[in-house]
Formats: sequence, structure tokens, C-alpha cells
Amino acid sequence: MKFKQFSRKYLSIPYGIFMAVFIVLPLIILFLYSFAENQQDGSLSFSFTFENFKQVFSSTNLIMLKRSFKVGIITTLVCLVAGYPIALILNNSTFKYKSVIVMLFMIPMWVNFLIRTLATKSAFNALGIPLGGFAVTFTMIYNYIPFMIMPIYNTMQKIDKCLFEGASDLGAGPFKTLLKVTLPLSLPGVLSGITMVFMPSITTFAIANIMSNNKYSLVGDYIQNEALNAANFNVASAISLIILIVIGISMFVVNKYDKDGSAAGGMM
Amino acid sequence: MSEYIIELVNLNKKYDTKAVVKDVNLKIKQGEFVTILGPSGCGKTTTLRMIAGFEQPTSGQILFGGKDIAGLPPYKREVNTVFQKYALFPHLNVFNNVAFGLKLKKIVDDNGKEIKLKDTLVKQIVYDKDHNPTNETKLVKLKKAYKYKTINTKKGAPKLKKVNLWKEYIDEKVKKALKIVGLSDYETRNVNSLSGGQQQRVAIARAIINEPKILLLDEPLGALDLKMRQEMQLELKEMHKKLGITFIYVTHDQEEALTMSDTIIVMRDGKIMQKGSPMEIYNEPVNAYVADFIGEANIFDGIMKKDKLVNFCGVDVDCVDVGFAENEPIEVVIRPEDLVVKKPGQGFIDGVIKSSMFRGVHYEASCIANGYEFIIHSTKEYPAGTEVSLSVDPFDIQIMKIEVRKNVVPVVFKSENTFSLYDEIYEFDPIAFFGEQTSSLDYIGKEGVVSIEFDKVDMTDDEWDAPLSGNVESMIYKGKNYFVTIRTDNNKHIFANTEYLWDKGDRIGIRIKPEDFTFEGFESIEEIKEEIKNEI
Repeated sequence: MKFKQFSRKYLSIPYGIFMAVFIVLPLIILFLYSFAENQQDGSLSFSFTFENFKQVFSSTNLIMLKRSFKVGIITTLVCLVAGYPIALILNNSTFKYKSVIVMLFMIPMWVNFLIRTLATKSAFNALGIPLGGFAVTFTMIYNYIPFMIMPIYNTMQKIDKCLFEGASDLGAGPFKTLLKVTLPLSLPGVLSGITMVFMPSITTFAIANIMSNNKYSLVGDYIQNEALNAANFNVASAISLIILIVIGISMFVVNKYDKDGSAAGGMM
Repeated sequence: MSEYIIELVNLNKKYDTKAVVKDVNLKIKQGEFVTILGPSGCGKTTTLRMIAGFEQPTSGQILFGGKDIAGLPPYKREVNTVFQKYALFPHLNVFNNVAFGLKLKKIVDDNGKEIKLKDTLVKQIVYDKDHNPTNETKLVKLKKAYKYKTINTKKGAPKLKKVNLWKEYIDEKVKKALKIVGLSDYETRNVNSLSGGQQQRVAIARAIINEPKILLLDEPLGALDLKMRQEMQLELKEMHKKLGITFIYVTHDQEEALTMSDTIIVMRDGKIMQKGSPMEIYNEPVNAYVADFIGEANIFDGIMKKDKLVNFCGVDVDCVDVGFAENEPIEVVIRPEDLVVKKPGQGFIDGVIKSSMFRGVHYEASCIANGYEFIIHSTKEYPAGTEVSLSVDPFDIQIMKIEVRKNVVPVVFKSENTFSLYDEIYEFDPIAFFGEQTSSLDYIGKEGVVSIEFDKVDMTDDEWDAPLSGNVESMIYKGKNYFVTIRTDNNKHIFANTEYLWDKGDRIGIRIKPEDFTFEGFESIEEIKEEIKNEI
């Protein structure tokens, strides 16, 4: 090959290989596994079955699935209701050290997730608050609220200040301005925040285990248990596939409302 | 209620310690088209923003129909603003942008209480159950009121349709406003898909829909290209006539101001320099600054020999101005188009054409006479080298009083031969100041006042080489030399005459020779301020 013919598209080859090996192939395997019969001896023979899904939707698992979504939804809602005003206050404040406060919200994120959760547990124990459902939800909110605040704050920062002056000039008081200008224009940030909180909060593991002493297990913990302890990758795959589809649907719905596509960008 | 819709009384605005609007007094009549004109940083936008309510004055009053509104937030003022950057809501289409203010509109009801327009009670015909109007009426809130209207459908019989009166009202108003700005049929368009000129029209429609008493326009045409700007100028003028409301327009473009305004207010450095009709401002500028800012002008230093006789550029010229002291220093303004080129010996001054340029409608010639440069606008071309004589109608010579004749500054004596001038140390000559009895005078530590002629202020581009440094704030060409206003780093003015061309904003150092200071006295500057004004 002559060097002249070298085209920039060849630069994408390593990425293509990476994507094939680490993204596409695993998805295919996940798909196949979820419809394959569990081979206890670890052999690779494939026989088609719905057994895994049947097991996932067994009555006990169904409760756990429902519970996971409940925790996810509550966490997302509380993060939104509590996070939006914080973002709003930060954005409107003329406080000189505003960036320090923004930083303070971020710093806990830099502490290892496990240490932070264990510390929360110690705090709960010290305060005498019983572990369980409430403790799990609380820890989730505590962990994920920065992911709600930051995208909302960032979109608010990008709103041209003259729009607020314009609204005020046209007769809108502070509340009307919030309702008619700030809120609709910060919607992409809200959607981004929702996806960034909702997704991890329904799939996370460890938080539920630690904060409820294994009594309030969620989907994440179930997958961990099936895959690592029971060595049943097929059921784990099936439930992962279900969550993948659910998240896919919710993303689709979110993106319908988000014309700029900024929420999808904030998914990472 | 006074005849003025808005009055600014001793209005001041300071940011930290920097005064941007200084003691502005202004009265604007109902229905006037007023333009506040000045260079960037002159305080014109701040003044407008105080009227709109975005800025609170540090002191002073804003009287709106006789009532002080200085503390009111923007949403409670009966003024609307067209912003330089349009400030259209990107999430709303054209219709909803325009309707924004109307939906929030409040009116004062019969009891003097403020009420939302959509909550006002209106009489509505009562319909029977077949949607036929009855003779009865009932009072309902406007937003709930409805009527039935027959609508012609494309096929089949006409249909009855329930129409909400509030929605219909908004619809009519928005359509009317859009028609005024020439944007009918644009209602459903996304504002981001519009051109700059169209966005500006939407911004205007949005501002006028609430029928404000005053429309404020903050350099609204600044972002448009020349053709569009000229077209919009005419349209704005038309709109002003049609709407009959007061327009307060802020711009730095003198042509825009001259084209549109009933009254022009020239601002500089936070103060009003001159207020008058475009004709007055152009033909009778009060000082060299206004003359230089509005249109092109030949400005010279001169002396009023006696009534109706002025001396400038080394010659005596007849004029029409009276009332000056004998030999009073003045400034002379002659507009380039008022200079008439004649054969040598026939005008008031003889000279040689240095250059000539075709400028479209006219030729712009530069003529050197007695060492002074005159700019001439003429429809005839005079090639370089032509010997000519210049003539001018005495009526076209504008004589202006000079407010500042020399720099007068306070000093504090620091040692036998130094003092601090605006906190920087300069040397002076004690013998020239106090004569032979210097040694018997105990002046160290005392305050005093000295003066410096404009010619004696030496500007250097090496600011470290001079005690006092600052920026060139403005320059006025006077045929031979430039009159430069320097703003020192501690926010004081020093004036200088120089033959060199500097740029606005240049960093310079100020050098003054010891022998060029003149001692004015030991009084503090406040005491002699009445006599000499150092501030423009």
C-alpha cells in the first residue's frame, strides 16, 4: 500500500476492533446466555430455553424487581426535588466563592464509593437509625444527588442572563420568570440529571447490601449473587437484558422530550 | 401630572467608586423620540437600564408621570425594552415570544387595584344549550369567557365553534403587533431560524404589544448590516409616528441619531453635554467634543477679537456671534460642507490643496493654509497642488466657549522643590513659584494649586519614564495639533496639546518640566473651583 493512499479512516480501525470485542460481542453473548440452559458443568453446549426468564419473574424476584424500581424512582424524584432548588440558588447567587460551594457538592464523589457507604452505615448506627429500606434509599440519594445538581446547574449557567431581564421587562416577577423561562430552558439538564441518577440507582449493588445487612436486596445484588455465588450466568444475563431494555425504553422517552440531545450526552 | 412623561433628577450611578452616571437631569415629553448618543462607556446604556429598572440609581430620582419609580423592579414599570442582543426566548416560537408580555399584563381596575388582564370581568352573552345566543349576559373572567362563532368549513355546512375570548384577544393583538413590524405569517416560526433583522423585529413586536408608555431601545440595530440598519431606521421612525409613544433610543451611531430623533442628548463621561434637536446639535454644538462627535468638523482654537469678529488660524474673520469678552479664547467650528473654495485672494484665507478624495456624493479635499489643515467637502474636484482661497458664510461659523483653558490641579508640597500631583512626585522651581523669599516660606506639607498650559504637557509612550501615567481618552484634531484628554490611573483628567497622533486607549506617561508649572495659590482646589473648571 502506498502511503499516499493512507486515509484517515484507517485511524478508526483500533476503535472498531475495541467496540467489536468489548461492546458488540459481550452484548451478543449476554443475549445468547439469557436464552441458554444453565450448564452446571461449564460446557459450552447451547440449548434454547425460557427457563431463565421464568426464574427472573418468580414471585420473590418480582418483589425484588419492583422494589428496585421503587427505590430508583424515589431516589430520582427526591434528587430532583432537592437538587433543582440547589442548582437554582447556586446559579442565582452572586456569592464570590460560589465555585467553592459547587466544589463541596462534588468532593464526596472523590471519596471511594465503598468507604463512603460504609461510613454512612456507621453514621446510621451511631445515630441509632435502623438499617433497611429507608437507609438504602437515603444512601442512594446521598450518593447520586451531585449527578442531579451538576447537569442542571450547568444548563442554567448557559442560559443567557439577558433572557431573565427580558422576562422581567415584560412583566414577569421572579416566580413567573422561573416558571416560564428558567424551568423550560433548564429542562435538558433536568432530563440529563434524571438519567444520570435513575440508571445507576436501579442497577447499583453493595449499597443495598451494606445499608440493610442483606435484608433489602435489589436487582444489582441479585445479579451479583447469581453470577458470582450461584455461578448462574444465564439468569444474571436474563435479568441484565431486562434492565437493559427498560433503560433503553426510558432513554427513548427522555430523548423524545429533549430536542438538543444534551441529556443523552450526559448519560455517561 | 406634569407634561413630562419621564424626568431624571440628579441621577447618579456608581459602581464601587467609579461614577458612570453623574448628576444627570433630563426631561422627556410624552411622544418624543429621544436619542441618547455617546461613545461606549459614556453612561448612556446605564442611564437607560436605570429607566428600565435593571439598575438601581445610587442617588437621584426617576419620575414617571410625576411619581418616583426609582425603587420599582422592571416588571412593575410601564416601560418595555428592546435589547441589543434581542433576548428572545429560544424555547418559544414567534407567536409565544410576542404574546409573553400580554399574557402577564396587569391593569388597574376601577378600585385602583392591580389585576391581571386575564382575570378582569367581562360581559358575556349567555348561550342556550343549542349554542344559540340569548338576551341575557353574565359577568365572567376574561380567560373563561367564550362565544360561538360560525366557521366556514372547506366542505359541507358552516360549523359552530366555541372560541375563548382571551385566546382570541391574544391572537388579534399578536397578529397586529407582528403586522406593525412586518412579520405577518411568521407566528409559528422558531425564533432561532430567523435572521438578525427578523429577530429584531420580533423583539420590537414583543416590546410594543403591551402598549408601554415608553419604549426603550438599547442599540437595537447594532448587530445588523448597513442596508438593514438604514431600512430599520426608517421603519422605527414610522412606528414611532404610528404608535405615538415615547421612544428612548441609545446609540453610539451619530448618523442614526440624526436620522431618527426629535431630540438628541449627547453624553460623555457620565454627563449630558448637550440636548437639542438634530439640527441644533449639528449646527450649534456647545463644545469641540460635541462638534467632533457629530459629523465631520474643522475645529480651531481662536480668539474673539470683539463682537462679530473672530481670529483663528492667524486671520480675522467676520462672524455673527456677540456677547463674548474682548480677546476671549474660544473654539471655532466650521463644517466641511460650509467651506467654499474660491480663487486665491477672494476668501478669508489662502492655501494649497494637499489631497483630494472622491467620496461618492462629494470630494473630500484637504487644504493647508497658514500651516492649518482644513477639510473641505465639495462637489468639484480640486487636484493636489491647486492654489485656492477659502470662504465661509459668517452664519456657518460656530463659536464655542471654552470651559477649560489650562490644567488646574491640586498638589501637596513634599520637599523644597517637589510636590505630589495626584499622588505622583513632580519637581518644580521654587524661585519661579515663590520668588526670592522662598527660604522664609514654610510650605512643605501644605496643599496648593498649580496650573499647566496644555502645550506644556509632554506625553511619552514610555509610561515608566514619567511620574503620572494614564490612558488617552479622547482626541480632537484642531487643524495643526491634537487636543488630548488623558484619564490618569487614579481617574483624573489631564489635557494636553500634541502634534502627534495617539490612539484612543494608548498607555502614556505624563512628563512636565519644573519650569512649566505655575503656582496659583495655597487654597485648596474647592475654593478656586468656581473660577476655573477643570472637569469637562
